[in-house]
Amino acid sequence: MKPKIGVFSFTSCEGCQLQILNLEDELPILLGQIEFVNFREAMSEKGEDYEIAFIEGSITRESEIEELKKIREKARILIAFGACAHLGGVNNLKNFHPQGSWLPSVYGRTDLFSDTIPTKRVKDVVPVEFVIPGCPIDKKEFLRFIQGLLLNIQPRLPDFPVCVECRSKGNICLVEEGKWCLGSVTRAGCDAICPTYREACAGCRGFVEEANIESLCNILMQNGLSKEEIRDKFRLFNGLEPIDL
Amino acid sequence: MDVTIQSNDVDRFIRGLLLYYDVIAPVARDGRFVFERIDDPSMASLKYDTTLLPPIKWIYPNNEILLEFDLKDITKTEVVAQSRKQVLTFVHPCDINAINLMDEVLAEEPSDVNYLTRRQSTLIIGYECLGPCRENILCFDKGYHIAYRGFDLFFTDIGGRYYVHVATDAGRAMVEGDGIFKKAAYDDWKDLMRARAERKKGFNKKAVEGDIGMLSHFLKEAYNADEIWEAEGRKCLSCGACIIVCPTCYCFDAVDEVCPDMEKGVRYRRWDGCQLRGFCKVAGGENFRKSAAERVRHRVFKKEVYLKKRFGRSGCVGCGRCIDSCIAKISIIDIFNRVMERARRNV
Repeated sequence: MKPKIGVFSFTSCEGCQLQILNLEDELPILLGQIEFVNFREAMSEKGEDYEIAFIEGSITRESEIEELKKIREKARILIAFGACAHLGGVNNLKNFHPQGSWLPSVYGRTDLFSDTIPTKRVKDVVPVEFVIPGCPIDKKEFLRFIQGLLLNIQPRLPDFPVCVECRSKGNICLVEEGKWCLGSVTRAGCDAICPTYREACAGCRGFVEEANIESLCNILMQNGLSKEEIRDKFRLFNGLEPIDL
Repeated sequence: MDVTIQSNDVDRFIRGLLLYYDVIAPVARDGRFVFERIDDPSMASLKYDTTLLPPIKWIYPNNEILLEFDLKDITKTEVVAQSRKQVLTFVHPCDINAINLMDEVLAEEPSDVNYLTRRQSTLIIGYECLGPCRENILCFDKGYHIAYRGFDLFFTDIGGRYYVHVATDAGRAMVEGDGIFKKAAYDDWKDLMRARAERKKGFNKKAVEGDIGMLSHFLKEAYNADEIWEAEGRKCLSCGACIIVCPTCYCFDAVDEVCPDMEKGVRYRRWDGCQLRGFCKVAGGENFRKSAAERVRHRVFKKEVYLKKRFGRSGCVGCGRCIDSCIAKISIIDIFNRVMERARRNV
């Protein structure tokens, strides 16, 4: 029997769902092996008989907590996919401002989304079996995850930092040039796409295990960044991670 | 047999090579250089300093496929080892010496079929260094600034033309035929000697103080010198830059990838190495080099002690790539100097 999958979206841009749909060559083949029963961005049906739930987005409203808990009750396996679900994503930035103080500048009024709460990661609300990181996710990583599921092999995320992929491509290091980049403490798997296009790694895939944040901070300070600037770079995606700056 | 070629004929020579081979040459990129496959002679830079990645990576490419397998019938697994005919051009002696060492390391049983297959279809044109090319190098300390073998042709700039040492039959085939090369005459040889005398003047500053021949011994004595390893370990990000850019790092991880139809798949190898946290993690979650300090020490020992013990020469060819690429400014030259200094102190 084909495993039944539900794809659900919370506070996010929904770009990670789109990444699944971007698997244009693979999806027709994949659909012979899995069945989507609930996937709002792709279909109208809203089946409740999913056993695997993919959760996109962070939890930023009271009502989302209940919704997520309901999904967790039905799903045998729950996967947080994308930086918002995994790390809180850029939505976590609001946690560093007084609650609700940003409403006028974002929406022009304060009476919308009155149940707004500080951003939570999916794992802060329900147990999570697996994470597919990234902003957005790498569609190939999603594919590998599904394949692992079908072959009964535990999917493995790269446990090395972005530098490995970046250097392997013969890129010139941004930090070496005196700029900032978080690639040295960030989990690889993106094929170093940002630094390859000369854009700093902002850490969207989360930290590697035992990341040497202190050393990187010293290096970035030598490159002229202030402690506050460095903190802000980390906060963009990793504001909810326990780091001492 | 030695020949010469006029500097402005080199383009014609490369154009000739392009008819028969993939030509890999140093190419300028944002103020640095990389070895890239070129399709036009104008892309190549003969004058270049150490490239970001060493040329050996064209013989040992990242993500190279090792096996093809069939999930329905695993007995149908096929070893994949293929190569196109390629010429690595204008390779500096440090990088030639690195390839020479890897030729031995990877030929040891069980030999690395993929490396050896690519190596066999690779020709190498060396390019003599007449002086240091960058600041953080120690090729001269090690004598690796000169290559005695491991090339088919070897170019030396003798002013307006190149003196070309023809070292192999394959090299001879490259210079014969189209009249670009002339047989080297006495005057050419004199100019070569003059250039080499200049080289001696160019390479005059050792990076490591003391008798480098004793380094391996002193390192072993410094195995527990925490004042060196712990200090470096605190700086180290374990980002792996040093092991990726090193011309004598050859460790890899094997990764399986399955086609979308899940019928067939490939096993490929991804560059991996001892500076990465996961490298020494084994089944059960145990990690036998847990700290960055232990990993940094292992890298230095692998180059300077273990490879030397096994193959009779240092695994560090002194190219300096690991130093230039370390954003935490961990320098193998600096470590060597501290080890030497420690030995002097302890005498």
